[in-house]
Amino acid sequence: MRMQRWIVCLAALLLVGASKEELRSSLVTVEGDVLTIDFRPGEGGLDLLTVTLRGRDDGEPVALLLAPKSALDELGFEIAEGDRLKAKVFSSAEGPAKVHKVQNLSRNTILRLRTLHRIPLWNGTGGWHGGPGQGAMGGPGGRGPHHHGGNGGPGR
Amino acid sequence: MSDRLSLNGLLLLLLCASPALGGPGELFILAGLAQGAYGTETDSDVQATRLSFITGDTLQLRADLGVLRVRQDSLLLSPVGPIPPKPRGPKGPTSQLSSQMAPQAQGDSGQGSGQGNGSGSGPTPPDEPFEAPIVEEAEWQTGLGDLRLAASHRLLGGGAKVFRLDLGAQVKAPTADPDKGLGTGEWDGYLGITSEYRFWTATGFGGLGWNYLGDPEWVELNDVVEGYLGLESEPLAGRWIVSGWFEGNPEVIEGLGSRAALGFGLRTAGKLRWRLLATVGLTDAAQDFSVLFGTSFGVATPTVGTRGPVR
Repeated sequence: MRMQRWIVCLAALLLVGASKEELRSSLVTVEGDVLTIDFRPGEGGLDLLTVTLRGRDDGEPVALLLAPKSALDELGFEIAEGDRLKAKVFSSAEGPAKVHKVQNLSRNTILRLRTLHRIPLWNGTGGWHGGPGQGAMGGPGGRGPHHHGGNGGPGR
Repeated sequence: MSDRLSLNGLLLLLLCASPALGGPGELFILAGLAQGAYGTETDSDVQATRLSFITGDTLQLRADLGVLRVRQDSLLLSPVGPIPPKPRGPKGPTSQLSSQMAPQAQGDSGQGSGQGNGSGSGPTPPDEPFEAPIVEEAEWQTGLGDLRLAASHRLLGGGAKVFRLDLGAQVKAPTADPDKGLGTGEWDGYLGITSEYRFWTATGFGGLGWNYLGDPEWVELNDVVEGYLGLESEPLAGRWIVSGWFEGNPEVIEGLGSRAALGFGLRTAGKLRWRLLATVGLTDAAQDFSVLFGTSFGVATPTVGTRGPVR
């Protein structure tokens, strides 16, 4: 009986916190080859790397607002013209679309740049601020059994 | 009281050492319970409150310490399966537990866990008159758990790479009191590799390693390999991250069998991160279930930015 109450309390705590439906609904996935690389002011007044992708079937080019070059360099995320990118972006009617997550298919790299709440994962000076996980979704101690850093059992 | 002082002292030491160890880190505060019968007639109950601290990336360091509350006749929960606690008396509950836990070991090899009769005095002589066990409510024991210190080094990938491979080592210092049934009182070690591969919508992860298990005087433990393999989702519905994995290892005590368990994880992204982890045993050598709930947050993070670590 005491166990059941405990489990119910845990479930209730986990269910606290409303989902952000309006944020999720604005996400779209784009893919294409990099045409141009440029910089333009973005969050925090920093110059952010901006790339233009060739549109699908030679359609309209798509502009993406990435992150400060210093933050990308810190994690080893490189982009060159001709690279093929896949990105999940917050759709935008004006200007380049802010990137939530980007994968460079030509270089086998992947990075999440903003949370689903559009919060950038770099700090005010352009350094990476996504925690010690260095761009991994989980970071340290996030996955698997506890004794390997994943917190998988109380008695261990 | 001394346990609490030790725990607080370690926490303070880790927090102070964080910048020297490589910058920001993450502190986990976790509470949970585990229960299992292990195919025997004896239940095992363990409750734990744990502190874990992790810092570094390419070179990552981790410390883990908890306060345990265990029922007097509970088996010790090691990462590779249950271990009988130190015997307390010639007719105490532990001797019954040991014989229930590994009946084959007693009958076949004579070297298994079934030697736990008396305080290291050997098996009960066969001509001793049988005395029926006295059934009484088991007491609970509380105390400091074992201290685990781990380090891992990035061998391949990491950063923005989709692939990562780390080599890791761990030492268990016997800070838990074996007389209270909280630990074996012996040093343990682990050496292994962990890896992950990030797909577009999920991350696969796994590990393979070897455990050296120090033998307490009342039972002989096999050194075993162990492995796990799982998958974790991207954040769902804004912040929920779901994972599942399979873990297992060969038998640690002869006659007890191999351990296999399924794990399930649910955690949140954000500044203050919550996590719920549970395992369900698939074999008798695994605890029937365990639940762990806690939170984690960044410590010693840079003060330049306007946000804490957000993942």
